[in-house]
Amino acid sequence: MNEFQEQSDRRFTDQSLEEQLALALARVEPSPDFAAGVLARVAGMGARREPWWKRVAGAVFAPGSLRWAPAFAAIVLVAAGTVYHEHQRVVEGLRAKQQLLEALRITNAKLQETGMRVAQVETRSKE
Amino acid sequence: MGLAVAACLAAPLWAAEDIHMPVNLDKLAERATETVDVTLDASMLQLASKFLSSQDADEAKAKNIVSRLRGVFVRSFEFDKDGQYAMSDVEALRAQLKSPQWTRIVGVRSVKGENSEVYLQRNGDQIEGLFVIAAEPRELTIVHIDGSIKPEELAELEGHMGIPHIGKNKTKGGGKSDDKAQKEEE
Amino acid sequence: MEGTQALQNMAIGQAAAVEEAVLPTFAEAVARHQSMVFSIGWHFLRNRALAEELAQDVFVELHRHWHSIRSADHLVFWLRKVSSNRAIDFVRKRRSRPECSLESTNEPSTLEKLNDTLLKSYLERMVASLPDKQRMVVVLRYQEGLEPEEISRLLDMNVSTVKTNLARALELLRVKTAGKLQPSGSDRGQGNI
Repeated sequence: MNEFQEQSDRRFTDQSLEEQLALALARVEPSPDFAAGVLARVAGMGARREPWWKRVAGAVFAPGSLRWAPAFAAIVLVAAGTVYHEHQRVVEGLRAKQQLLEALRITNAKLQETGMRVAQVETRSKE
Repeated sequence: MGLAVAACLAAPLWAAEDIHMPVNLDKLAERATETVDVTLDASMLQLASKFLSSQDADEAKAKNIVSRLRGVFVRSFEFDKDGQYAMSDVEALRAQLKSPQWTRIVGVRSVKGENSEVYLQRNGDQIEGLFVIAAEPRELTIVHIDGSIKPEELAELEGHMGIPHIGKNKTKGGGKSDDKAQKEEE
Repeated sequence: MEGTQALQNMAIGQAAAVEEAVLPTFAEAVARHQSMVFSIGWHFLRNRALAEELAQDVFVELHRHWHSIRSADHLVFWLRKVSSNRAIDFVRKRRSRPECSLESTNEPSTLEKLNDTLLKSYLERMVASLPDKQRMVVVLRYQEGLEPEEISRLLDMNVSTVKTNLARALELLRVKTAGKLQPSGSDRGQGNI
């Protein structure tokens, strides 16, 4: 094998290797409850580091500010509901994304299989 | 009468074009060793799309595909032995695809009992839907994609996002159709 | 009312300094980028539990620094930088190595044709056996599709060092995969190179 052929083959092999590396190192998903775990851990840490109720209580029971107590209570309730809703939305969205990718994979797989069968039939009919 | 009403209510409406999944097919999950059940309507597709990153080339492609869809519905059943489903149930589905809007562009049958069909729903020159029925002795897969879909765009996702290469052989489109049902692999 | 405003900000996951029109919420950021962060850990450590632990740590740190994130692009850069450097530190502190060394990796017989699944698994294991810096350079290059200049910014390396590491890693991998990578639909090559 001459040097030109060797270099050409090496470039081809490198290209194949790079393509295979990109496939081998494709991103993968963590466990389905990963995001929920992160949010739970962050929420727990937030409570320990900055107790929001202390800040709310400090604002509520500050001199002359008792009249704001109902408003603060309403904001806390809305905030808690918002956080919970956001969390649920994330969980639902991730599940939908996984299902979507699975559906696209199956669709493509079936189309490819059908195509291969068509090709086989065509090949046999030509023989 | 009550049972008939219940049966009608139990049959899920897959798309605005009223393709009903025969009730018997939904019960196959009880006999299947593996089941894939995906029902994503327009709102769920929109939600899923928000979690596809535009900064990732492959997810951006998927996002582009999904932006034109109204629904994605998949039922796939794997069995550990033959004869777990009746072809008459598949026939009930095929009967619904005989409407003028649907065109069967590929139909392949083998002596091993592996049957594959691909239907396209057209609106003039536009493709408005894709339907795949893949019936094998131990596996039945039904796919309905409602919306503007190009099968070659699906093939571009191959090898990425955990969607594995299926094969490296070149494939050609169905002989009697002027529409491509599959993309040639590189 | 400072307390009220801060409470609202915390509830919706946005800090005052964030450009609301560009950045997602923290929860959306986790959902959108968890795959990227986890995969860097997974391909580097080849241990799912450790990769998840690492990824969680990265997002917890992101939450602490959320106020400093300026844009969606900055977010991605920050996550890649912290993930890759933490993964390298992780290995060094724990002196943990991936499950097999390059030398001990069983090579399929040269007479066997590998299908895609086997080759993928084989390559993953070989990448995991590379020296730390080479391994992370390969992961960032082929998982994330980054150019050497971008990798050099993430790993605080000279561009030339990145390129050298990449070249050495590819040479090692090329030797190990010689003969396994066959062209498709073509007659080039005579089997093993």
